[in-house]
Amino acid sequence: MLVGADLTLAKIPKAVVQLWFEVRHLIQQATGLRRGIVVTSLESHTMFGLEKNLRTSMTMMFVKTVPTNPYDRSLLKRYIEPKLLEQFESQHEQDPTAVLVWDPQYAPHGTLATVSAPPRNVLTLIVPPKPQSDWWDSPWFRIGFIIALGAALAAPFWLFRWN
Amino acid sequence: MPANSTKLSGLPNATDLFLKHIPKPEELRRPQFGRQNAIEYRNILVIGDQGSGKTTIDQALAYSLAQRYRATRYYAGVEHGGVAGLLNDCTDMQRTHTCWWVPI
Repeated sequence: MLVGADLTLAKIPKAVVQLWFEVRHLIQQATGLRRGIVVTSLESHTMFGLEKNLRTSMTMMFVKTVPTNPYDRSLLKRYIEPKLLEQFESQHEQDPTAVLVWDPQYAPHGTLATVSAPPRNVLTLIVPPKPQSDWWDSPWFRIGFIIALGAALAAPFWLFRWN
Repeated sequence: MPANSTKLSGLPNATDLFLKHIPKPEELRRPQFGRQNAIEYRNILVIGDQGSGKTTIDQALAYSLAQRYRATRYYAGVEHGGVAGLLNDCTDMQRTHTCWWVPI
């Protein structure tokens, strides 16, 4: 199970998004496994805050709180019955375990459900890779380069000045 | 749960709904040909405010998944603010040898 947390407005390079959609094949290449299941879960504060390609097809959707912005609300209403959405909004603070679930197969108009913390955590925290930056791309190199270029251009004038 | 909270009774458990989409180990698709990839794929979307319990949902789902596949190799990882690390990790041979087993 691969969980992408806090993805609201996350800048995910296109190459990574492309690889994300090839995850089954990447796992096969790396491990040799040909049988199994990959479950990916993407967390976001809003639907529009998530990269479009990542939210286009989903097996299920869990809504823990209803976003207040009208764009997300109108989008959510296409998945979940508006009355249920309003009922959940007014009740969810009473029970923190309540969650709205949309499931095209078993709850096509959404349903209320409960979920509580498991007895232990099985999610390993993954440290994201450091972004690769080339040394010539650093601001210090640029500043140094401009100073060196300026000195090189000014040098002949200084030499003529002493002569 | 806070003391002044009320429990909504009679509601289905979200993990039970989730497990309806997860085949039992013996029901997983089998590759038919030599190099055919029969790995199945499910995608979940979790929407919620900060501190609303999005990761708790994922923990609950990951736990239920680990219980269903307890006799097999299992890996569950979470990355904040991206997915590149997850891709690196799940395709890293060393990691897959050390982390793909989570006994419950």
